Amino acid sequence: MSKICWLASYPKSGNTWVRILLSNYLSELEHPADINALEINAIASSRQLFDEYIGLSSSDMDEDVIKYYQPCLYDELVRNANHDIYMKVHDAYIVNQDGLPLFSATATKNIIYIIRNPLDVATSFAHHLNISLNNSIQHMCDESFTMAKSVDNINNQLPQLLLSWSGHVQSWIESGLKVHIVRYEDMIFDPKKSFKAILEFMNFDVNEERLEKAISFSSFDSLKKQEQEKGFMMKDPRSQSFFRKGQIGAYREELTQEQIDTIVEYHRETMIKYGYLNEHNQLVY
Amino acid sequence: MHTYQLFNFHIHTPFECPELLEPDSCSQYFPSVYVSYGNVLKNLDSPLNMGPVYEATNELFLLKVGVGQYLIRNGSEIIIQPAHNATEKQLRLLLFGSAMGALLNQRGYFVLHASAIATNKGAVIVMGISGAGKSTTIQSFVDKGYKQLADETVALYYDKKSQQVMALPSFPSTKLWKNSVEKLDKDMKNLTRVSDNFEKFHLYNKTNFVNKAIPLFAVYHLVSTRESDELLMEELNASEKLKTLFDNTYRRKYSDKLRCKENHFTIATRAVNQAHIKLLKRPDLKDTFKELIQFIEKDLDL
Repeated sequence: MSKICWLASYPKSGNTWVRILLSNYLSELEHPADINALEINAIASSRQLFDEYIGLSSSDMDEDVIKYYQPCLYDELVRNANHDIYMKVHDAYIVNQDGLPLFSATATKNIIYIIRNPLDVATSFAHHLNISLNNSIQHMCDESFTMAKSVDNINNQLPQLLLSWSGHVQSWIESGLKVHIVRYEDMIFDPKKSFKAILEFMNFDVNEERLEKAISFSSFDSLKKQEQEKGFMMKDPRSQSFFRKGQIGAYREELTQEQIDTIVEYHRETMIKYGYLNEHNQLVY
Repeated sequence: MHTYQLFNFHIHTPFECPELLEPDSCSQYFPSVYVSYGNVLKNLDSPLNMGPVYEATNELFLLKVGVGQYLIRNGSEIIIQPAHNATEKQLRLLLFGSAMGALLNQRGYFVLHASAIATNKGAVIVMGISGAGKSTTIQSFVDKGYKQLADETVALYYDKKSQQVMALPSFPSTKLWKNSVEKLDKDMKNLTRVSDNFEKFHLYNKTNFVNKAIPLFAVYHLVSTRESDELLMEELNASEKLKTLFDNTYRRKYSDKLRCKENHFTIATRAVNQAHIKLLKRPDLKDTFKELIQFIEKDLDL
């Protein structure tokens, strides 16, 4: 039976990069896959997908009603699929008002959870949404933060409850489902090792040549070049570019000490657990 | 019992429907559709098509949603079993949305997720997903002096007598989000909320409405895009035109495995031969609706 492999992450954590890597690996092209026509293109919060597969108009529903139907959406996708589905998701792993997880065990094959240093996420998220760094940090420390909330207009994405950054990480890791955790920083340091582990977790036969080609086609410079030449559909219209820096520790050029302290204070436990703070409470990157 | 004129039938409802028009003198021979309250089956026997909230045979369509159950029968009857806390407003929202879509399928129409105006050359349709800007475009046309023909759903049929695909009138209003209402400089006080839970409103165009079927003239598939800051129009070949019509079918999965799918194909094929069908891309978040209607006017020489 076909199921869904969730590519889950807090926004700006490298999710798109993993999708591009996987798309390049699976498509076996002799040139980089077009970033606007990726093989792995589905996102769990697509309003269009919801309306089509549920058969109702989400724009006539409030958030609770949408969440009531969301588990049915993914079950329905699986019921209609004749192969496994790779799907990006930014929502936290939460339950709806009936106590049902949005992403049911029956619809789920496994989860790749991509985690990135919250200090770098904060700066990248601010640029992505074209908001101040303080606002971005505030969102990351807000247990009720919802992205794409439709209040007085309609968004092509459904509202996505993210929780705080730590809440998001915890929600997926402790979902009780089969999760493989990938650190963005490890993908930068050793993309081959990280990506090979992803493929093995997904039960793919790993072909070294294809793997190396996929990595080279998905390099940051190659993606940035494609975006400059053709634009990128995932870019928020309010931001300058989607692929901005992608560097580890770029936050040091942008965050004040006070802003760093706010993030570390709120997310200390999770940062220690995933290697962003060492045993002496010092920043690793 | 209240009677209104909708599409090309009279609809008799147990409640008032301020969003609809009273029957006019030209509609005296229109068939009737009856809406009533009653007990509804929990499931259909041997459904041919099923989804998370519906079951369907060629004659029956059962819609099971939080506000109640709707049984749509033979294109002429809708029985509603409301949930105990459902309001009339909530029931009407589903009745004139998904339930009506299923009824129109049963009546043999090909229904697009679209809005439309009536021009002296025929119906000009703007179709697309929720949020594409259909209603705002149509309201911009109406504000410029055009008459509205439909919002949210446009039902098409092939008229054997005139040998043309015709577009039916639907609701004499547009449903607009608050930011669109403000962009169009409308007074919020005069508008009715679609739901009490969010900022979406009915803007009535009852006096700027054409309440009769007119020949199909043009269809634009409106897409909101981040590719460019400019409006872009793309020509489509015949198979792309056919695909774009099917992609924008209202509640597309409702008709899977049902006989009505054959009607859809016949009507869509004829529509491709009869109408200008193009892809129209507008920049996301940039207000280009005034330019957009000028673009369409110029394209169609209106």
